Amino acid sequence: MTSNIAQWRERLADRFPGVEAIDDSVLRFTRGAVDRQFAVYYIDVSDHLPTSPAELTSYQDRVIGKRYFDGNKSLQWSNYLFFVVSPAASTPNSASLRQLIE
Amino acid sequence: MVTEDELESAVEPLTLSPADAAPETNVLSVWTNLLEKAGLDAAVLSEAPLPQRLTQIEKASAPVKTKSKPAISPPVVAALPQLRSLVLSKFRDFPQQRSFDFGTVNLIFGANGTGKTSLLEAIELLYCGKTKRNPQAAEEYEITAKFADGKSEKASSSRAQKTFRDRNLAWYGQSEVKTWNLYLSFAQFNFLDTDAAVSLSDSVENLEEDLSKLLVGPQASQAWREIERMSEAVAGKLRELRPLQTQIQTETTTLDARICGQPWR
Repeated sequence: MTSNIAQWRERLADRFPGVEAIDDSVLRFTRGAVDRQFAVYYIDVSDHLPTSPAELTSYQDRVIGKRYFDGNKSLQWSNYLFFVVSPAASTPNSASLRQLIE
Repeated sequence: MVTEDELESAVEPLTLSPADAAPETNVLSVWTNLLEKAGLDAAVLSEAPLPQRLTQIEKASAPVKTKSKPAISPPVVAALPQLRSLVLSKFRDFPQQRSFDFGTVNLIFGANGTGKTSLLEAIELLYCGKTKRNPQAAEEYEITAKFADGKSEKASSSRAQKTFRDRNLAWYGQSEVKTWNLYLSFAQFNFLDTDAAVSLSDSVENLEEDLSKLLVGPQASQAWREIERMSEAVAGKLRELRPLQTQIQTETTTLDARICGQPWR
């Protein structure tokens, strides 16, 4: 069982004050160093993975698409999407899911 | 896909530390020094045939005592600020344009054979006095460079080798005595070995070799291969000699016993 979105938000808020929940299960924040932003992180804590290319594409359109051009132009090269899964979630098809996503 | 723990480590705060002013000693120098101390540098890093080198190692069985070299402190070589312009007073026939102004990022374009590479090699000569593509060429040049701090340098083919050794030590931590290898260090950090990079993405066969070429440079990579090769050869030779050692020990023991058994003792 993974932590829920509120718990994650709380854990990340110290380090990343700008962390925001962009829907029921996805957090977004920007990382920076010495007042320069260098990456955008999306953390999906739903414990659900897209299972087909079409689902993955529409997921990216929905979650990342409309925010993709926010911030510095160079950030567009540094979007990171994490799906948090419980260690027990290694089902027989988890390898193929991983392959699909990566 | 990450587990909670993996995510935690992925979002750990960055630790930024400023690079040391003095460069770390180059790995090749470290190996060479270690081999020198053991009196093995000539045998391991030479280009002589393997059997000859093995004989050299046998002869060097007692470590050669050399005076330990005093630690060399990098010479004071001013870091050159960004290059702002270049005037080629004497340098090849191409590029025909002889004067160049540079910005922070520059796009160099032109048809084949009009001197794009030559312009880059003029810069290489300015810094290194040699070019990676043709290090043996003793080409004549006279180049005037202006830097961002307003200073300029008039570089010609008559500069002393010491200039480049000092730079190699100050910029890349590689100490040299008689050689002139700044151009190799410079190339390693300024040019991407595209062959190794392409090969890396193409196949997994030479993964280790390609990676090492990219990361430590071909020289260190070659030295490592030599060290590995020699170490295998030495191990083989040792295995060959073990029975002889046992035999000699047995004979010595027998002889000792015989001597002890003599009536005059």
